[in-house]
Amino acid sequence: MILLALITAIVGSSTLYMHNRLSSSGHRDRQLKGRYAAQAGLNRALVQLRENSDWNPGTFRETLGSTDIGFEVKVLNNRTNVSPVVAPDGTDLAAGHVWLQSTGIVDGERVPGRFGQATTRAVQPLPVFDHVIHFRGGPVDPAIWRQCTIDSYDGIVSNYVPFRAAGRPDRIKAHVRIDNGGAGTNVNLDGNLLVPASDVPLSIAGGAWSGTRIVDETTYTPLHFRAPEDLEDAPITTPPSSGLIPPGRYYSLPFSTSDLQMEEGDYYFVDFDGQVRENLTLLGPGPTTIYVERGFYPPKNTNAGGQSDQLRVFFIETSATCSFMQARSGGTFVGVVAGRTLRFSTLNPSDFYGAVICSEYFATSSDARIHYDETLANRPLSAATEWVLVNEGTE
Amino acid sequence: MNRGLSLLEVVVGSFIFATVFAGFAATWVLQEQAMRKYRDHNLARFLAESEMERATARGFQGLRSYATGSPRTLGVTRKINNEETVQEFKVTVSLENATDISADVIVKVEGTGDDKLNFELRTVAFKTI
Repeated sequence: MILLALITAIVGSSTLYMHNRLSSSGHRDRQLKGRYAAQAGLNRALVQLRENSDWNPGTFRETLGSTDIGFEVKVLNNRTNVSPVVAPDGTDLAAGHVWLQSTGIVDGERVPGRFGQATTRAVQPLPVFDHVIHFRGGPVDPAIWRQCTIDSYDGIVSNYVPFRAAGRPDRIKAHVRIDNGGAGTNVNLDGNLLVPASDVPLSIAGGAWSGTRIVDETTYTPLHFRAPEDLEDAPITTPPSSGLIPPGRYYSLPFSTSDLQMEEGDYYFVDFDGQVRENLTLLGPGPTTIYVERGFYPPKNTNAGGQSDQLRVFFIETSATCSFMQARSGGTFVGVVAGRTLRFSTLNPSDFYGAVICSEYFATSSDARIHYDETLANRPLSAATEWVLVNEGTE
Repeated sequence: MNRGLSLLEVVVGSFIFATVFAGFAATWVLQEQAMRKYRDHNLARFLAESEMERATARGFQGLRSYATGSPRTLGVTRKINNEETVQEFKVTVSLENATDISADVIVKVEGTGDDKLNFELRTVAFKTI
């Protein structure tokens, strides 16, 4: 009898042990499937917000394919309010933000806890040009710049006094922000170099530098520009052969002309190529915003003498991810330029007035000059951008 | 007075022991099978999670080309009872409901043996990943 009891105990405990392991395996399956299902819910919410920025369904449920996996998303949209509200989890939801809580559903049941549930915020970040150049950290190369002058002016081009010229004090306002490190040689810089951490590799040698290196731990929400809604599905048309081009969606400028005029409004170009040789004039009074898929080669004098916030060039990421802008030699460009993967370069000698957000900058040789418009600081500029999920961050 | 065991008692006792041992042996075999299935299933889950992370890490633009390379056969070398064995899995990454801005991402891991092992993960990718 004792032997029988012993055998029964051994078999029983072994079976129980196996049962527990199989149960815990099933539990981990649910957690993992729930985690990805919750992530799916957040991304599906971004798709909905992209189609309708005011989307605010309260609770939203969906099944993924014909499976028993899905998600439930709770939404609080505070995009159009001007003040914060209290989110369902008790936290403050800033104006312009959308609160999202996604819970994975596996086998028809919600997967609670931190594995199967995600709470976050969505926002459409706007570009803020707080720096003369903000290297957002390209995927390929760090920032490289050489033999150029980077300084600032008070927003009126005619008031500009060259760096270290008689009558101009060091303003120290042309700050360069570098996220992933880089190297500068023979650079005249009238501002600080800002890096997100002290160990970011960065060197600057030669030239005149009036600022210092500063660790700035501000984090920036990724900027993904998109085509404005009214242009996204518009047919691609051929622009007039010369003179005034109205807002619209164009492939390129398939003609040679010396002068071009553009109105206030949104333009979309697949390629803004170099056919226009001399002048681009903006008729205003509001901003002219040009969304570009690939390359932007501005005329020699672009918005010369105008305000930098009057001309905005934003690069859209498509399957061809390398966008490129090149300012002409001997020319003047007044405006702001931004693109997450933008490779920006200036041909010498040229004057660029405004600010840049880019991945890389090349000054092709000596005497390229970039002048920061100090009035751009702390001013979000309107733009069509993609929704992104954020936990913290500015922009 | 000790009169010993009768033939009937010996037969009945032997029968009981045989039954119990047979049950024990059967349970042991079943547990071995369950343990193998448990290990294979855990491995499949691990492969599915790794593949999902690998696919989504390429960003939305890279998902389509990554899915084009499916299915892949992955061989995993494991050491069980000091004996190395190679086990193969068929790993498939596919996209459903794909648009210019989002796609359902499905990762499926299947055993290549007779055990009908199958583990699937699903999520949705958005353009800004």
